[in-house]
Amino acid sequence: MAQPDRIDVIASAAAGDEVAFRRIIATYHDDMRRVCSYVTRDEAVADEAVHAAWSVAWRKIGSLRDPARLRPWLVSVAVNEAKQLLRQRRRRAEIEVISQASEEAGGIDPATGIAIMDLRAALDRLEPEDRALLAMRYVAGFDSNELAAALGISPSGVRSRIERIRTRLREELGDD
Amino acid sequence: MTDMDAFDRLIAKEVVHASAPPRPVDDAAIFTAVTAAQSHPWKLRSVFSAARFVVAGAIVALFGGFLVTSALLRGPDDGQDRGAAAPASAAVVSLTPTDGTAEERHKLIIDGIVLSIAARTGPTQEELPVLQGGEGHTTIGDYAHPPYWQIPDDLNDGLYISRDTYGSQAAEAMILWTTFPGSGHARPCLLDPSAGPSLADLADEVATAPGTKFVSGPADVTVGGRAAKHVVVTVALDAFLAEVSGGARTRTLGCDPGYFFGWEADDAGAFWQETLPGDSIGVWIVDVDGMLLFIEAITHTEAGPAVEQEIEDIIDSIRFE
Repeated sequence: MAQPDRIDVIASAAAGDEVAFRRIIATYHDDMRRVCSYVTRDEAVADEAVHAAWSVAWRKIGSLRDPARLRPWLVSVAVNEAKQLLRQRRRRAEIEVISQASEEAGGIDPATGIAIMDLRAALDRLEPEDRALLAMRYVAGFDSNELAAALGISPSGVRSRIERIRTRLREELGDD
Repeated sequence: MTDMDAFDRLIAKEVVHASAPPRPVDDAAIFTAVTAAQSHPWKLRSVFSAARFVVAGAIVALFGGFLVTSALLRGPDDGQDRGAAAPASAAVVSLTPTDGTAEERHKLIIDGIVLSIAARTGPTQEELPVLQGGEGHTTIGDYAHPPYWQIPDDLNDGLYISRDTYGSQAAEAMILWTTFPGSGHARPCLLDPSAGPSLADLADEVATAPGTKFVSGPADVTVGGRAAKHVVVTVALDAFLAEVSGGARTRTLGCDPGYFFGWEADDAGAFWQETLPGDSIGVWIVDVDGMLLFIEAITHTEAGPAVEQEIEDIIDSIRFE
């Protein structure tokens, strides 16, 4: 399906055109869900976050000035909802963190010599904000400019944050 | 030292592996999303109409405390120990609970100045209805609760309050405070720290601050029975024009990171990520026994006169102890 970044599709959705909005949902829903699943580590919570995000998008899409930013904007909205849900669940002590990655055997990565299980454990310890950044980068495939748009920081700021995460991971893995 | 490309690939592989697998967006998923999206009470209004009421800023609602605190901790010209002078806020009286909101008086300590304010507050983010799943569809809880002010009760969040209209991703006004000059927390960054010490000197500086467009003042007013000056400016368009150089953006308004007068989120939500052209900045400078309390209220362009009135009411409610 073609990317509905065209301004007429967005404008139609903003004006209440459900068909246009459905087209946008069909295109971006899975990106949002997958990124949120990594942020929350819980697919049910991710689904909740994405549905909440669609509610926000339905009301706010008219404020989107640059159609090219639709995808990072939507993912950003979903990630924010995911983080809010996480925060609520943490405070209520209701969440069970499920690490899907830990269900699979690890071993040593031949290219880096790093124990996979150690890396997974280190990734699990990242804050939701850092997990969101990694998910947007590697799951949604955002480049620095898209990440910058989604996060509201400069591309250089994005690179700095990614580098900081990598450095932290390497330190935790004793690889410095 | 591992090869960075290989390390990146390994991280990418693990992140993708740990995320949910791709899944086709079928009709049921679209139906559920549309149902969720349209279950909002505003569904019969246009998005543009709703936008008049819903403005900007996960930064305030979700991350405001952290961001503002972070901004302050990295504020310019600030080598002072902030920890010892951290402000506090605490709700002390609940006056008139009605339909989930309450008029509450909150006590704050700002650089040793003890004051209280009254503001219409509501449920915390945690108390708001969120999602109520049902078989076949999901509905959103009531995002359209009456607008209210959020007053963080965390010690380090006491530097601001914000007015939110729904959920987690909207705010349309925020009030911040510090003292001047020599605040332990922040200072209006574009102003000359040597300005003053008179109220009039500082007010004149605010009225002519770079990157702003003068609206009114300085007017002689009283706040909490103390002599004060009130100045209103808006963010000028030329202050918003970004200069891009090597990926770094420089601004002519505010600090880096911005705070008083202008701010820009380090890590933001979807809306109101920065002070924008046309945003209104109302400043009250109050002489509190020789120390100048600097109060700044920023409102989004779409906030409207009702919000401005609420801000006036909050300022009027200030009582010093």
